[in-house]
Amino acid sequence: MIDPYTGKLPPFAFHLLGLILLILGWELLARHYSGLVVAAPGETLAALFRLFKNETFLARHMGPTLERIGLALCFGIGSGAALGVLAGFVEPIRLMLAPARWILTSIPGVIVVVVFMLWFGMGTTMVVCITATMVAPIVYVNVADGMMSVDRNLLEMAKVYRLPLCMRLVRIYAMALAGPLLSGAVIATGNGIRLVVLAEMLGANEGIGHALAISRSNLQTDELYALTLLAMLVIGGVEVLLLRPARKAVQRRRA
Amino acid sequence: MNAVIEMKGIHKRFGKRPVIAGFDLTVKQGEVLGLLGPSGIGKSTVLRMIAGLERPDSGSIRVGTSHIGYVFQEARLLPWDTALNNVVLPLRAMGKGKREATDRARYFLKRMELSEFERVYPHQLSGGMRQRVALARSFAINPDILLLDEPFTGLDKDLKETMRHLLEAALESSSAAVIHVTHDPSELLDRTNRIIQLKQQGKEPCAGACLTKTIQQGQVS
Repeated sequence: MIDPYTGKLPPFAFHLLGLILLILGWELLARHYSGLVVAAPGETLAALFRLFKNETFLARHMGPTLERIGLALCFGIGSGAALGVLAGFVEPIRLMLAPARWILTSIPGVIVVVVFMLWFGMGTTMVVCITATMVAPIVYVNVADGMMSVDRNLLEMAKVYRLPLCMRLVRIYAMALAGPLLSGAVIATGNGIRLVVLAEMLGANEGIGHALAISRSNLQTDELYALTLLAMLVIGGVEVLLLRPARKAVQRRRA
Repeated sequence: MNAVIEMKGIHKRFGKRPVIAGFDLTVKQGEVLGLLGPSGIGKSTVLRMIAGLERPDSGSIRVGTSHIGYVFQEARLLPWDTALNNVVLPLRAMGKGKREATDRARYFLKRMELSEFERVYPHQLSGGMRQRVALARSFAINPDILLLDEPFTGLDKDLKETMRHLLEAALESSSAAVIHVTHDPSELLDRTNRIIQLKQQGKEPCAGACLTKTIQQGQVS
């Protein structure tokens, strides 16, 4: 495992070591405290496998949560990116959006959940609206900043050679914004999934968040921990399988 | 021959600093004009106004074509596209079909001795090669006006000579009016048939170059 040229451990070895230490710490805590407070790693994994085998759980909780995450991220990232591009082109719009952006990024998520529950009631609409509303400003800031840093020299070149607007958008702006957009999307995905679970926990009758609330009420700690692990796996899955490869592809092309 | 560029009474300021004052210029089709002068005197600004990148504060500019090739001091290539795609881009913008645009781009890259590098990205090319791609891009659109803004900046002596040679060869089959901006008279092209020397006006230096005007016109010896 040791690199023969540098004599050092490769980076993934340190990731693995950190993970092993975390699990060891978790195991020690589980042995020290009651199973009602801290579920052991083994019990958590067993509960997770039980959840995966449970078709009712998959249909009633996992499916709706994934659907909400997909919808919320599509709306949130889409609207944030569109507004960011608009703000980059039209300075007054950027200035007008500044207060709304500031309010949405500084207000605690739980307050938004409570307010949106009053407006939309319980269920998918509320969860998707909350998450999209909170995710959009993150993407908006990244894209608007990205618009400010689009290479002016390339835009001048495009003007001299009379590239039509659609060509400029695709060949210059989209490529220049892909990096900031994906960086924003990575942060938005993590935050978005957390918000979906929070909103489901407080105001939905199905979904991982709702299942978490039930497990807590029933003192099913192993299932509670398994659901937490599941939410982390969803975040990690989206990031590792979707966003990270996309970001690497963009970096390769921009190198 | 017809004039493709007519500039009359051009004045331009950047903030409070006057850069161009009462500048007149007429360039005819096929003419190769050298625009000489020290850095900061406003040579590039003249080119930028012809290309529509700057507007004069007063005066009039008439440019008789939309086919303008511009070689900037730096290549200004899309970093995420290959050399070939960078040359294809303006051709596609002109409405040429994909195949025709690609064939034409390949031809001009070949003329710039870059056939082997058409699939290469700009960051994998040397500075001189990038400028040659920019030249290929300019010639590919069959320009009526070719603006060269110190295209040999940053190149060593041998590379400058290579670039000059390639540029001269490409101009042989072009009827474009050329304006070549440089601060170094030795960089002027052999086929230059008119030189305009820009000089500062007034006795006192004014924070670099604050007042400029056409002072001398002469023939290349």
